[in-house]
Amino acid sequence: MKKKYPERRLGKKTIGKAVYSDYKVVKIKTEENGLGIFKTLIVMGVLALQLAILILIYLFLSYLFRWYVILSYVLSFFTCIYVISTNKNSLSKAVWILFILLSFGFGYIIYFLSDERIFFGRKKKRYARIFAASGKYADEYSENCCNGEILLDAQYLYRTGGFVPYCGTRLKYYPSGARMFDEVLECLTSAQSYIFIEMYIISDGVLFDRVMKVLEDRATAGVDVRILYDFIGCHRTLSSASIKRIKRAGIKLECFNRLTPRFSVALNFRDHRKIIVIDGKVAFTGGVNLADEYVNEKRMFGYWKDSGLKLEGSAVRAFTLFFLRQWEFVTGRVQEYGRFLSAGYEVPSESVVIPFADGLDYDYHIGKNVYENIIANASQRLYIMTPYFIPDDSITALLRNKALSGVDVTLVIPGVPDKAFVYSVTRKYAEKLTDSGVKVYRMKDSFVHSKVVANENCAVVGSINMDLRSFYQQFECAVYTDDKGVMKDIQADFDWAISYGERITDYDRRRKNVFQRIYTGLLQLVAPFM
Amino acid sequence: MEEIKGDCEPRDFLNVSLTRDNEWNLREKYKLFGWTETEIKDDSLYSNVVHVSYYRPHFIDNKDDLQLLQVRMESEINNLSKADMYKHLRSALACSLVAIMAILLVAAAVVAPLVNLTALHIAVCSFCGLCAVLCLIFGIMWVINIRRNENQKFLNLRERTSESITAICIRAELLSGVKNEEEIS
Repeated sequence: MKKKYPERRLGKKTIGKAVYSDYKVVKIKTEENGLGIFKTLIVMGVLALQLAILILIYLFLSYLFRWYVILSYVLSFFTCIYVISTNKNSLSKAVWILFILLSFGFGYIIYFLSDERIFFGRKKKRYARIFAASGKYADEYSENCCNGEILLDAQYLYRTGGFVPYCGTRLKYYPSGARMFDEVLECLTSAQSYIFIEMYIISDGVLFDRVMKVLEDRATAGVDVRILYDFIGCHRTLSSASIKRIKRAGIKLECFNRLTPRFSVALNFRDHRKIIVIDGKVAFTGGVNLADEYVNEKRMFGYWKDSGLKLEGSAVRAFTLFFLRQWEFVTGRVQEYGRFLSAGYEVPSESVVIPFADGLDYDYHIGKNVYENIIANASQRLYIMTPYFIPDDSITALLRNKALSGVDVTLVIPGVPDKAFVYSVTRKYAEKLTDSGVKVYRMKDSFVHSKVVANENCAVVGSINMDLRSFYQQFECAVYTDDKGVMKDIQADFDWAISYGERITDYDRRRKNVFQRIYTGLLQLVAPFM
Repeated sequence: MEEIKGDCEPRDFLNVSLTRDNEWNLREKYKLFGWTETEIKDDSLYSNVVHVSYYRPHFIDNKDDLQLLQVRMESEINNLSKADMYKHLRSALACSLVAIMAILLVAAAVVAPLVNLTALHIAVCSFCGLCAVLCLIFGIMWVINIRRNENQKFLNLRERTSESITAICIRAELLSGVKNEEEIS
């Protein structure tokens, strides 16, 4: 039957129905990204206004008092000397010095506004008090299950953060977020005592509805359900209707580092951890947030490749402790650690599992150093999967040297970017390694969100990207293990990703034109903030 | 994943907007990835767009591979379509450049004798006129050459895309176990 379409009329002229003329032949209906941009623009506008006021005050003072210009020059000079003496990585130091010298009137003020010892100092003391009070619930260190190859890493993790190795824990690796969340939902339905969820992003959508149905049911049954989310991570994805729904269900909800319209670089410190703990017996972690794109229910940047890990056994206590400490920090109320950490739960296993966390609550850059140790200890092969590859000099040098020494170094990065400028810098750093023999693969039509680093003896799976933000500014968590089953699954996952990948060669690096090189060179100046 | 009333098996849903007369028979191709068509609707605004709804069981074998292959297929088709839209961009730019140069030369040839009728101005007029003719002749040859290259490049891309999509469909068939109805018929 021939279809007739309604016709449009313009005066006496009849125009047929409009014809879609965009190039896309096929469009998936979930391709819109994000919401709530209006709120973001308002807050950014207020912050920009405060920065502008700061600059205007400087210009006004300079106009009135000539000696202020000389004074600010002198202060900028000494600030540069101070920056050189700090423990920051070399790229950050170079960028800060350049910034202070180019804006010598107010650059040093912004530098000190960003110094975590000044504006995070009180919070660090609060963390220290929480750690001291909850220290008695942390498990004792024992090397019984650690053999020679991972003993040094175990000692490092214990000495820097008090993280202990566990022997009675079974692990399961998931090569996709969808598979992980299928099992998360199954475990959540059988929760009897408590459910703790800590996520960087929680987003309205199909997955959220599925999880909420289970959480509402469990909360009604008397289970203690707590959700901790990051404000910046969720401000454009979690609607106020969903927040009300969570609270109406009797679920305790807290937000980490709420955004305030007050200029402070402490806003840069985000909770990037992904932790789900159920009854102290099962925990999940990895790169997967509670949002549709992570389980491929929503199309954002092609196919979303992610990884997750399930822990069953004694090591879950560590994640319970991480969550409770962060909860106490956010709420300001002392938690009943004993209630949640009293009983041990062991599962027969031969592997060593060391859950660890990183962030400004620790004095060392644990995530970065663990990655460096794994790279340094690799003698046969080294696999890295990361969405952003912006390492500092030490990691770049280690990777180069390992590849030149004959170690099979493989790096898998996304083929589809989520942030174009970050991706340009990622490509630049990755391509620089190709001349040393590092095999770099882009997974075509996919956004790789997995954070996995593995050598022939051990692996780390967690939330830690291989970029400066994760190393120096964010709260992260991961699991270090020598589990043979997990190592085998990781190997299979890499083989799978490489089979769908495209290798980047030295030719790709050399054929970039001068404008592209200038563009990525300029982007490197803001790499420490990416 | 939602549960249909009276059906305990959880399902995934997919809603796709397709151009009606696409050459790839996409409506059938989605079935190779395990999807079953439930509804097809015409778009209210565009005459050449249809909205198709599909479902499939949530728990299926090789789901990750099938999802990635589906994304690949869509990406290849959209990239080819984008290339088709912009395939004559270079020749259009070249043609515009040649036309502008020819117009400027002709204008110079016309204006020069109007300014003054000296030997120099007549020489300039003749020179500009000759340059305009040569510009047109060589310009047209250049544009035709570019156009030929563009067509060839597009044909090569179409061939590669077609092979790629065929390979994707064969792999999807193997993974999902669904037979390609086009091949059967």
